[in-house]
Amino acid sequence: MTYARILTLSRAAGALLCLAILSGLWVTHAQERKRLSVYSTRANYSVSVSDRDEKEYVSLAEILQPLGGSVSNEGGKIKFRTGKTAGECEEGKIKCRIGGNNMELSAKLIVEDGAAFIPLHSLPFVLSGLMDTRFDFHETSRRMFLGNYGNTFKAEARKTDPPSVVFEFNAPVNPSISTEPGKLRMRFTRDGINSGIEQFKFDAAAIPGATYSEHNGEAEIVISGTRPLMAEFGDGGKTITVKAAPEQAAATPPPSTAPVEPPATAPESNPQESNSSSSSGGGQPLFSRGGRYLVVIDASHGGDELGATLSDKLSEKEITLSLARRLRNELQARGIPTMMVRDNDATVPVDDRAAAANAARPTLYIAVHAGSMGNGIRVYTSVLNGSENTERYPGAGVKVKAGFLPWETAQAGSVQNSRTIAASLTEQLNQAKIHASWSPAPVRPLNNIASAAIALEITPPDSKKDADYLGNANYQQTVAIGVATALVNARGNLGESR
Amino acid sequence: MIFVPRNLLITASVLLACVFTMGFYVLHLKRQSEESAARIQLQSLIPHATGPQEKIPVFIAYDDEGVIREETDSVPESNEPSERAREVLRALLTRYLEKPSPHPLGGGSEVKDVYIVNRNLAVVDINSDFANQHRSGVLVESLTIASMIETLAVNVPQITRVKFMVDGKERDTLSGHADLMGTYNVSDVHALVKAMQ
Repeated sequence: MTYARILTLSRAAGALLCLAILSGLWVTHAQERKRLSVYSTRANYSVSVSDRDEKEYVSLAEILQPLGGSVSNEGGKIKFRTGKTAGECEEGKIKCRIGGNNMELSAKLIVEDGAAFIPLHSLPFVLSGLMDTRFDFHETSRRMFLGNYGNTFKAEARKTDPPSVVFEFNAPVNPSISTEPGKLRMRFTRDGINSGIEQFKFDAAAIPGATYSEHNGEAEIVISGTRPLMAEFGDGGKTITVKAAPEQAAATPPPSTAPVEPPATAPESNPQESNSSSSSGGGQPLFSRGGRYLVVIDASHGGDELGATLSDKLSEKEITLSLARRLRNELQARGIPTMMVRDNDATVPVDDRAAAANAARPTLYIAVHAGSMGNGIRVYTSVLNGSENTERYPGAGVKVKAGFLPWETAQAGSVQNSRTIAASLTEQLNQAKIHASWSPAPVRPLNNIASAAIALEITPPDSKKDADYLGNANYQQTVAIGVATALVNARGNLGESR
Repeated sequence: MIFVPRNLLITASVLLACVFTMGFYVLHLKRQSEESAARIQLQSLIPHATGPQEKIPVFIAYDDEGVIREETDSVPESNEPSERAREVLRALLTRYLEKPSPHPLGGGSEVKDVYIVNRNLAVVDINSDFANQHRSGVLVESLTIASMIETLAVNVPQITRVKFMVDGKERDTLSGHADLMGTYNVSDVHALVKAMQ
């Protein structure tokens, strides 16, 4: 074989290798779905970002609906509104009229399957035309902060034994935490944390520093350690203390990758809580856990999981999300902090829902369901009787070995509280002439929730109305107001009785 | 133009032929395995027992009122707990599969088998038609689970815990709501059935 032929073959092989590497990179890149996260005082949520004509686009409806807005398509004319301000764009055009002013999008508006998509780059301009508020848009990391929202934090080393670093946030956070040799990662998907500092250095040999970064709608804090690190929540989720393992323990090499235990942990940071919950399973104070009151609202189903088919046009997942949003608004209007497990049409596995709720350590978890059988509102609690963990770990009460609760029976320690809340809520709803009943039911993930937990199943108000009536905005609003008012009233009554 | 030597062309052709042959062989193996799995699935439905009948209590769910009522039915006599458990549940399902039914289940719903583990844990293996065609809803799924567990526990008193499997595998929920991952305590479900009566 001549030198020229060998060279030709080498070039061909090289080209093939490059092609394979590029294909690999493309596949890896394609697997990560682009997302935009929006943080505001009204709602924190993520929407998917898609590439069209080499530009990034977002669904206008997915952006505006969580902010209380609406979008309609009238024969290619896209009309949208938030509050009193309205806007209008046209399919395939870049010119729009918003709040009485003309503006141009950076690329044409696209309509697919009746849904309008606008270029991501133009989103701040569209929103600023609609809302009288300031924006902080991190376009490269696709994170947008509306109004004065932005959960800043500070990090400080503490000279404790073992050494620790405390991260103090302005508002409760709920990151997913994982560890690997020499690092602890905290990924903030739903929390709008924001920092102008990218590198942190600490005066602690075991925890020398941390980095802050943003990528694809998420923020991440990576803490470096010379020993294995562990994280502990405190102050109602507003502080995270990262501790180095004691030197003796650190001598044992850590596993290569050690995900944090599912967060069905019994709270350890507050000894009073631990003591009070170790008695009969009904010990933790209702509605005042650690002085913080947080309701986690879980709009059941979503994405690929439709839930019950209520009618030809209506699936359960649509009703649950709509009801959950209304309930959130009504609770917030009454001064009750809330957190949504899902605020868009995403598929969320049921274990992830429980993990997210447990990580937030709420006062009350509410799973929202909808059904066509029966009438009114059915309130469900777990079927556990409250003695499961005690039976499994005799003498330990609900505070079990190593501070962890068994996942299957995490609710056992809170089931009495859940029943008290369910009974009180039902009574309040009936007093408000909204037919309601409660009973235990084997609904997932109630057994996996480590705080008071109930499920609501909303059905048509009476036998004359069919399941389509569940989509009626007035009925949904009546239910949301009824439940929110009942919860507030129940809080007062329970507080006085204790 | 790239000149490729003849020996390389022959090698590449042989390798390509090998790839196609292997591909067809793998497809053939996959088809064989699927057919075999289907045969195993059909064989694993254990036939109904025969012999003298006895009357047993069954707990029937009524969708219209959202209640569970105790009624009687007949099953072949058996002292073997696993066989008895299976027949008891099949009697219950027969009632649900009748037309009209107080609590309709999807066609083809079947209890494949019941295994008794450590004398007191019943593992109920239902088929995928049962779960896939079950109506979705908290109440309707709870009625199914509660009536099955109560019927099982009353007729095979040694059973104190019940676990459900679908075609021998764990599954999150029956049809989006009722828990199939956990193990049910019979006493907890008894309280639930009392509330539903």
